[in-house]
Amino acid sequence: MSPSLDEELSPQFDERVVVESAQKGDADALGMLYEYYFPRVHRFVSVRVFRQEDAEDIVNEIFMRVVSSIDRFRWEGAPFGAWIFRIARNEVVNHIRRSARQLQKEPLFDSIPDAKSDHVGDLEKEEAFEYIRAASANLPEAQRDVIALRFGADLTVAETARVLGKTENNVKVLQHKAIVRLREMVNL
Amino acid sequence: MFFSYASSIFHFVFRRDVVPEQEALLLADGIELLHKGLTLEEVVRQFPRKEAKILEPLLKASQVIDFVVSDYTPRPAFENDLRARFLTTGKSSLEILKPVRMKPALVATLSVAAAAIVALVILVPLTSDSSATAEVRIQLEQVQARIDIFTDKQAGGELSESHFEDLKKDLDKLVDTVKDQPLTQVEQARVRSLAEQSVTAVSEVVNDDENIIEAAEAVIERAGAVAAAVANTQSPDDSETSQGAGGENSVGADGGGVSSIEETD
Repeated sequence: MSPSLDEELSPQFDERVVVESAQKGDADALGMLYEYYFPRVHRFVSVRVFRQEDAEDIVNEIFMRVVSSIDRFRWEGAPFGAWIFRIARNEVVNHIRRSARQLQKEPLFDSIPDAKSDHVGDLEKEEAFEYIRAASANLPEAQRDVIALRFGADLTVAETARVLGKTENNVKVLQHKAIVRLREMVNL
Repeated sequence: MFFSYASSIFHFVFRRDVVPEQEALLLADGIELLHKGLTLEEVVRQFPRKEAKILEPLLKASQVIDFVVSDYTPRPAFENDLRARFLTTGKSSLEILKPVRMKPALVATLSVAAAAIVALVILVPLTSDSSATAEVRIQLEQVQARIDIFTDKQAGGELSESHFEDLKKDLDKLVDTVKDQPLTQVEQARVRSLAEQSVTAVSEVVNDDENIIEAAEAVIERAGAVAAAVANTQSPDDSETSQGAGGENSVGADGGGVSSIEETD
């Protein structure tokens, strides 16, 4: 039997206890939540947003929003992780809407290598990440979300479905399409 | 010809709508196995040869994406700065809630701050000019906003000790700000009303707590002193000779006289 969504979305520590302590201003609890979620949120945003400066602004906004509204979070079905990544996704979507005009002008395809040559193996990790990010920017919105949540935030299919409000099968199909397309674009 | 066409239709429909979905499900299963620590070869061996041939390049691609993305790290300075802001903001805005039992000393401290304002109102020179500096006006607004927050939190059962502390600090700051400032009667009344509101808000919080009823009564007494000062305030013209010498209460400690003062300000 697969674990419940609550279990899947929770870190190794007792998240409910930690979140309730954090809601009372406990610095250690807030620190634990930050340590656990920061890298995942940062990667998620970094995959979805083209410029590092923008990604940092968004991550900053997400965590300030989390800390300013954590006292209003209630355990009513959705796990804490789903709550955080919904905030994260909303911030990303808002950013993309605000800067849609600029993004359309970005020469995204210019930075994607020729599909006939194998570049990835020769690239440093930083460059490789830029290739993946640039390529994923050309995916449809839903596919980008799935890639960012599955590979950036390390969410499972079930968790991703929960955050996006889709079925697990939907997520699997979107993941498949995204990987096929990325493979074509970056020659993975 | 017909069979070729039918085959194309069949292939088009089912290849695009069914097979890719099956592929998607198999790919998801394969990725899960990779995440569990199996090697690509081990995962591929889990599938029939035909499916394995289709899945292998996709699984390999997912491995590369996973490797590249999961290895992406933030700038340490950014991570540390944000951590500090996150913790500082959380600590200051999410103090441990203790909505029922407040420390008597805290209430007593607040009442002292309110009393200090009462004394100040009596001592500051009155003037008919609109003489309050921007700093005074800002601080008046600040205390009003603080009282509003206090009241809201109290209504929502979310009051904490930090809200008392914040109110006390703002009252203290108001005292410092208006010290030696000539105030009009309206401004003086505004200061007094804020003291009244502060005391009223505190007394409403503590009136169920037997341990601090005495302290609450002391606070209410101070509110009465404020009202007395209001009743004996002279007009600006003769204010220099007879300011707030004390007298009968004309405004109750429940802040009943506050709204009219607020409207004229």
